[in-house]
Amino acid sequence: MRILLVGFLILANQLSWADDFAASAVPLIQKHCVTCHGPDKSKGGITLHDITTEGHAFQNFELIQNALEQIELGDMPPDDEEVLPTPEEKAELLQQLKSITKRVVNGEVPQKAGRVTLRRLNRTEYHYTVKDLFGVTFNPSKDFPVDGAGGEGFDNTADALFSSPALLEKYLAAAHKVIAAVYDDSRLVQKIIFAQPESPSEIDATAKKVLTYHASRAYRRRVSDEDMAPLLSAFSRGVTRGLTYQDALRAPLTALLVNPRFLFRAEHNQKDHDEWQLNDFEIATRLSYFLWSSMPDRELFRLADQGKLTDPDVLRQQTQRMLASPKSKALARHFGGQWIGFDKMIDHVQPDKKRFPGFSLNLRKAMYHEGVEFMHHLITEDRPIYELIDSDYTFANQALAQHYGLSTPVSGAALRKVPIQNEQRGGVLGMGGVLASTSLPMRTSPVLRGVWILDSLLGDPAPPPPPDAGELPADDTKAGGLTFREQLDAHRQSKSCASCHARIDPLGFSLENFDAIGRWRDRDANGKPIDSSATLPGNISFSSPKELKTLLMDSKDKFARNMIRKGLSYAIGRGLEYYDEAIVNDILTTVKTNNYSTQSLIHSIIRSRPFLKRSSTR
Amino acid sequence: MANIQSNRWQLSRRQMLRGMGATLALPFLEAMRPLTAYAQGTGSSLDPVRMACLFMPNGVRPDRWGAEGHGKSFSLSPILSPLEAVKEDLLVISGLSNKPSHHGDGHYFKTASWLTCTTIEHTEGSNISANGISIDQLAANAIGGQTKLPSMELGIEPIKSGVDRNVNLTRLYGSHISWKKPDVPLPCEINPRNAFDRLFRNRAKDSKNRPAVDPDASVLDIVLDDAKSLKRQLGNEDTHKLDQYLESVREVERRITNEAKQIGSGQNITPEALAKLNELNRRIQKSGGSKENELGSLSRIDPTEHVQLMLDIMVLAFWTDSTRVSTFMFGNSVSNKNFSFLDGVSGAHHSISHHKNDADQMDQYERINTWHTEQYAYMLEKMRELPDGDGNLLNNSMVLFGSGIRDGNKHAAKDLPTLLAGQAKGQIKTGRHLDTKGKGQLAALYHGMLNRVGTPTQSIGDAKRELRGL
Repeated sequence: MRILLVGFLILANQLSWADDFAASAVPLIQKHCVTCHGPDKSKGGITLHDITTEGHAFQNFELIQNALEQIELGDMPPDDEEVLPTPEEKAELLQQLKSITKRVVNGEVPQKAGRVTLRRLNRTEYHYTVKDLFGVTFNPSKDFPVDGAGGEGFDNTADALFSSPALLEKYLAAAHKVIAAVYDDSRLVQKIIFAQPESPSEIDATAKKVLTYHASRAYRRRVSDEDMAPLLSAFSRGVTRGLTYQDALRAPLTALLVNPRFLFRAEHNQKDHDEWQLNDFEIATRLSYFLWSSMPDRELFRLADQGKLTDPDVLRQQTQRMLASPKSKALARHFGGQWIGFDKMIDHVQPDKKRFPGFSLNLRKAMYHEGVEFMHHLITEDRPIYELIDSDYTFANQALAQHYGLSTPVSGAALRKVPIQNEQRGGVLGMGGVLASTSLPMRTSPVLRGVWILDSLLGDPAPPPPPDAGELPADDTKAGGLTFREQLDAHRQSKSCASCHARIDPLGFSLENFDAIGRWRDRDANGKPIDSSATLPGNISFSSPKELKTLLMDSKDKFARNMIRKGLSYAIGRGLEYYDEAIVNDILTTVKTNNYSTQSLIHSIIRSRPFLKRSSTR
Repeated sequence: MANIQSNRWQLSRRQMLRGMGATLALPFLEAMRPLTAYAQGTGSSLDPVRMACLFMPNGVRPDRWGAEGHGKSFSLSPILSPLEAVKEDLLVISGLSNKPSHHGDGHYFKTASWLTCTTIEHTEGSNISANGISIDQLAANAIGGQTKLPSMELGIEPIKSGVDRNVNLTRLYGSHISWKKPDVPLPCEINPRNAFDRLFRNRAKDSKNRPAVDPDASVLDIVLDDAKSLKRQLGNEDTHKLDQYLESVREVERRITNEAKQIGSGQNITPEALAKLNELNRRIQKSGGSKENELGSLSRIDPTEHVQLMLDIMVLAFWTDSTRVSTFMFGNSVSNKNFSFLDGVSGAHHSISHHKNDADQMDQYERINTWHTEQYAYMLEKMRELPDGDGNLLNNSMVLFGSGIRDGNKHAAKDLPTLLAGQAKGQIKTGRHLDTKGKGQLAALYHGMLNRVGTPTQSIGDAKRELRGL
């Protein structure tokens, strides 16, 4: 009887789960979308033909959301299509798409923690970790290849981190260099080789003590005899060959830095479970790489060893302690730098030297550090995240303050917090690092700036341009008599460009008073007055950076949601999946309740299911 | 006398590696005979064929690229004019297309698949795959085993990180043309100092300073067993990541063995090669390419000098038989490298490539393209000056130069700009224009190239046979 009942429930369940989406939405997609977004053509890089079930729709949540928006705005299907959907068809499709997005965001879809692939330390993490491990002061990973990125755009995304022979050679070279630096420094070597055998009979035991300490720190957990065996036998081989105690430790210490247990962050599996809690050491590791881009410190290890990190209160206290540490600057540098984009000042932004002779290395550095200090200030002082949109302060040194024309005098090379009286500056939109990295070498680009606002700030990227889209001259002094603005306006007359550029360009126009290296200007390169007036679809008119910021403040929930998505992805080292959207939504609720506090955002990420748990499947 | 029937005298491969340092007795300066292939007894011929693939981002100005006329009587278009001096060593190939890359966006799909002729996986990073192995790596698998490095990947621009939201693709695709496995891209070395040292520094050490035990070998020795035991604890995708690591370990071990054999067997660099190496070493020093700087890897080397240093390293690597396969990237796809250092150019590469048929932009675009062919010509001329086997180095090589798209304004992977130089030891008739009339497959050219480096394949990309008329 019981079996029968269960069987009935399963059946009933399946009946009620009949795939509405497949029945009503899919035929409409096939009929109206797939000609351009299917196996033959993939306009805008978008294909919809393989979304044939509700499950697919969930998995392609962002695409569905994007399609929904395009159809609602009336941009899709284009008016010149031969067969347009009837109003009934359109309404039906919209309703289906809305149902998908609503269910994903509300968590009415199967939920899980997700699974992060084995994460290799990226070059930054390697640098900080080795520094914490052996106290060296140089950057041993300087020559490592730049790591690619995936997911939400971060270089700590596990799937986008590869190993190659060339990289392994660099690991070897770096390991030798680090250990050589330790051995060459009498103070440091005493610290690392902290015990000396008192008699020959104690040699092995003392070496074991030293190596066990370093191995457990390098592997970020308690070590087993199995872990120690290769290290100890390497030591013994050295002694057999006649090396001194200290010299025989050299090879095993070097080997620690090339060991995959060090280079990769492995997390345990539980057979026969769909999902499980990470253990204390794994939590300590996730926490420290999220907030510090480095290994756990002594206190985290101690708490992990005592099994206390799984306690939410302890976790919260530790998070606070770690955020207050100077090491949290890594979060500002690498999360902030990659998300906001000021890290492009490091090696990608190339303002033309002849056009901008005043753009010195010092200014470049100051612009990078302005972003870092600002972000770090939000984190440590727990400021509201919307100060990124607008603030009445920034961080500047003398050169940068002069460059910006700030009214408060600043002297010296060190950056400090400076009040801003001019409401045009303030927030990331007034930062040189943002303004220069969204410009071209010879000129500003309202398009790049507009795209950056939509994508990086609001998480709402514009679709790609068609392949034959033109570009304006790379140099704004070659504008053929037209102002730059006039040329861009002409460009937008083209129908295939207009629908997107109507959303993109106005955002950039309003920033035109900032030149390609972030200085304020009233006239363009040809001496014509800057026109920063702009109108977005819906007849939203505005002008100047100040008014743009007011406009963005009205969208601060959208901004907050985007920052949460970015932060979560950075913290867990993978791109977000549809089942994460409900988590993002929950975090947004918490952050709003806490007046958009930066730390509430960080705490919420850390106590979230994807951060603390692991699933057997992706 | 050792009892050779007992296997006690047989050292395990890694024991041998550990002891290898002791046999590395020959000092660098006492090298006695020209280095050709040292791999006696491995079945490989002397004077092996070398293969290089040079990638240019962002296409070319279409009306100024190519050749007039057919076969042996042809004239070079303006962009190709810097190649006039090496015309007889050149095969201009027109009308090739890379069909599998016609899908997808205008840059990433066309760059990552330039040497694979596949349709890459559309991803922001969770399942990066070129869905194929690039021809340089196919060649390296076959002929790279006997040299210090199976292959060498060089470039001048740092990898661009992040995801391109215009097309929802990881930018990694725009920065990698070499694919060791479908899901393992190989990054370019961009620092000339590192590239040089990786190849030549160990050779420059004399026996007195050489440690008795190769330090890399002894470190890897400790690590390898541990890695295997870790592997048993991991899940599927995780294993996959660790396998990449393990394969890298094995390859580095192999490199150490080969290097030791090479030096130990008395084969080393000729005085002529040594002079060239020293000269290049000084130029690298002078370029300041190894300067430490807080703001990372931003190159402060003159762009032309940077390219020429990297190409010179490649040429000397070929000449000393340190590697037989190499790729070079003039830049990442969508590169907005500032080309204002050229006369008559003011602006960034990618922006200018979207020329909208504007006369001034087209002119600047052409100047940028021409600078690229000048660098190619520089390399070919260098190779021609170096005696190798019965001829010169270029005679024994194949140097491919091209882009993944034709016109930067259109982004089509049709009628691709493609040049091949060198005779591959008499296997290619150069000094010709081979016009496939739009019917040729890029993959078919690769098929033919692989045949000529001794790596025949059944099929590559969309081609089952080699290009007709090659």
